Amino acid sequence: MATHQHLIAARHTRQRLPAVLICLLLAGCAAPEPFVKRPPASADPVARTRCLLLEESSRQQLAITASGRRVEHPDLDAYLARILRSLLPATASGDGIEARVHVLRDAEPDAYSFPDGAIFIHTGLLVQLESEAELALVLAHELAHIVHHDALRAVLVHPSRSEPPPPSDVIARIGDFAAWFGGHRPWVDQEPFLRQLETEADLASLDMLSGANYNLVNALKIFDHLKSSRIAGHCGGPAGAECAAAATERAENLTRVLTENYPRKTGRSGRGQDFFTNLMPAFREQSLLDLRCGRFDDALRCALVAARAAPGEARGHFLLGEIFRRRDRAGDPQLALGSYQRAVTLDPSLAEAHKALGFMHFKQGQCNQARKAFETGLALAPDALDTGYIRHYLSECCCTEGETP
Amino acid sequence: MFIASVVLACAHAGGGNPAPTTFSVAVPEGWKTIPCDEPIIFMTKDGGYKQFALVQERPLGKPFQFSQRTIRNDMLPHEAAEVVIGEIMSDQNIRDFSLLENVPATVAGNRGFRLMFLYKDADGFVFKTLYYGFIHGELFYNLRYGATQDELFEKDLKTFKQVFDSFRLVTAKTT
Repeated sequence: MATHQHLIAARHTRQRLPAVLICLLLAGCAAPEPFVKRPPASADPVARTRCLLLEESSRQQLAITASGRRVEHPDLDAYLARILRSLLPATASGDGIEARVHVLRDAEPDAYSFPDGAIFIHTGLLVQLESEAELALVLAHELAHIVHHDALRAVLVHPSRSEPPPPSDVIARIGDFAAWFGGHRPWVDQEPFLRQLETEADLASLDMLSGANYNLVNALKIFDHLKSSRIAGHCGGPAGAECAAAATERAENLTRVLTENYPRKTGRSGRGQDFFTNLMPAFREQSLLDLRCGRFDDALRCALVAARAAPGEARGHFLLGEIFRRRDRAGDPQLALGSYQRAVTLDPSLAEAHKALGFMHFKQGQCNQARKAFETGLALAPDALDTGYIRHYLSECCCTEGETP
Repeated sequence: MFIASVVLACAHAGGGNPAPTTFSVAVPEGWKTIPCDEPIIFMTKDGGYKQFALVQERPLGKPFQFSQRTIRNDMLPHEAAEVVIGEIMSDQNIRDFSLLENVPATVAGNRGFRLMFLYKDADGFVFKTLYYGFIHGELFYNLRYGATQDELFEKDLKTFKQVFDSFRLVTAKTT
């Protein structure tokens, strides 16, 4: 369990270990490449380990890319890259690290990093955040693992094992943000050295945030937000209480370090509408995920944030319509109809919204309106996956207004 | 995963009398059924992880296991299909779900839907599945055919067609 003394001890260790390792790495393999040529078995063990880690990183990242979960949105990518650049310590420049952030369409509230500088953050985590300072804390924590070469250290310094852990195991366990909050790989289960690395990353992230002029007090509010979110659900079962206690203790330790070592209580928080506007694509993607899995209230919360961030975008209103239609509580059909109508007003070429209006009218027996909407939708997207249904319903569509099909 | 849970449910029946159903269906020659304590007929020729055909009835009010959603009798076929797709996507054991087809279909004279999809289960098996569903009264019926390999899928598709064509709703529950 992380204590205050542990945090301070880790801080001193952090200053020693990376320096030694970074020197060793200078003799190691070149900067990360998609496919890293493995050095011969006789090569320097540090260089060899580093290459094995990079090789494993490439393998895992290729699998992630192949899963089709990447959210590629230029504005969102640029925003995250800006934050990352502001956090990157000057000492890391020239170290061959190419830090970068990728967003993944995944409901699990998680983030993790790879030794080659790649950071992955899930939409499920992004939508739980309430300020840029909180987001910066997540990114800084992951960045700290990268610039400290924590994966390499975990393989080379493995005091509690006789054999070094395999690279795949290390990559999976270093910098797992959910574990940080007592998530699916609970903090309490981590080996002492891995826990130490997490603690060091915590402390380094405070330094990075302070250097980038973020408000640390507001950044640490992430603990409160995440404790009440779905992330807490990953820490259920008999270990749940222990998990929650570990997460609370960790938050308290960080707060104590903050109070003692960072007297400045000001700085930017980034809690305004701009923050949500920048994250709008993540909110929309997460809303779609929640909708597909029937988590309507979660879907609605995200869709409303996205719609507020981009009120003129037809897709946002169409998404709201989909949520109301499928949730189907009292009053929802009217809300769905209104949202679809708003969507087609904003973008008359949005085929899905026309078809959705057609379905609504068809169910209500308003066949003339259904036919008109279906035909418009079909004309706009004749090859869509739901064309079969539209044609089928059109064939059933009677032309007498008010008659139930 | 679905196959595992069906096998578990069926194994629980312990070879006793199968649960009564409101449908009848012919079991193809050479295929065997596994008795279930739920109104499911699960049949396979070489084992559920090679190929299977399954016919199930479920009460409309009964929430699906993972999404907790229910199908209602005022739903259009595409809406019922949405619920089924949502259930599959909510199953944490299913990976790489890919919907190949989602079209209207008629099953024993009832208006329904047909899905074709691919997914990988927790053990890494890739299943190709054909799924028919329809609502009748207060029950949701589904007929599925799945196989782990493309060639197996194609090979026994004709056999499943026989199962599909033999499907009938009956007025009294039969065992």
